[in-house]
Amino acid sequence: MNTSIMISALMKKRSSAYYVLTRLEHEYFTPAYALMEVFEHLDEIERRSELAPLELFERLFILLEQIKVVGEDEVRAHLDEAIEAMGERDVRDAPFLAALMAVGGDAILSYDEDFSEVERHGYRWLKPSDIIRL
Amino acid sequence: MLPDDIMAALGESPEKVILRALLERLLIRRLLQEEEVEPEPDTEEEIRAVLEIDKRVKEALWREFYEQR
Repeated sequence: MNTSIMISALMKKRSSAYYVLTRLEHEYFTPAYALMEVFEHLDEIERRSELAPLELFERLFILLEQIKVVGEDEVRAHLDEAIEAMGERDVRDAPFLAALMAVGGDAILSYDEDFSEVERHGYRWLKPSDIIRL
Repeated sequence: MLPDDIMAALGESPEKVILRALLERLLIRRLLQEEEVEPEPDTEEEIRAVLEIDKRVKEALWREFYEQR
């Protein structure tokens, strides 16, 4: 999953992203540094969130339990291949595809349409509503 | 090396670390059980707000960790 899913889960009370992450039986992975960067932007997320600060903190606590972290060495081992795949759309999405490659996953969960590019490389791009429908 | 009593006070003893992890899991399980989540469809406005923040997050992520790889 990319960071848009976690951001959405922290912004909306009846978030479909939060529902998917906490109620549906799948494994979710993200690069370790991506989690750190979400933490760096928590002030902005909190300012724009429907959740009270304590609710947001509780969700963060729960999400950290649900999301598995892909180590940086594993991400970097697949980064060049991922850059080649994502480069034409947005190279900054490459670490998420590299993490997907590292864990042998089958889909990127994101709201960002740039990830439709992964479908040309044998992976699926899913939004939370797609997983709920599965 | 810190004295043992300070290490223990900081929660560094293995027993404390394990106990804290177990308590965290219990707390998370309880939070999840008590919580009712009925998802509603994402509106375009909500998705736009999420992607605005996400854009800044992924730019910072790339700049700080991957650009100079």
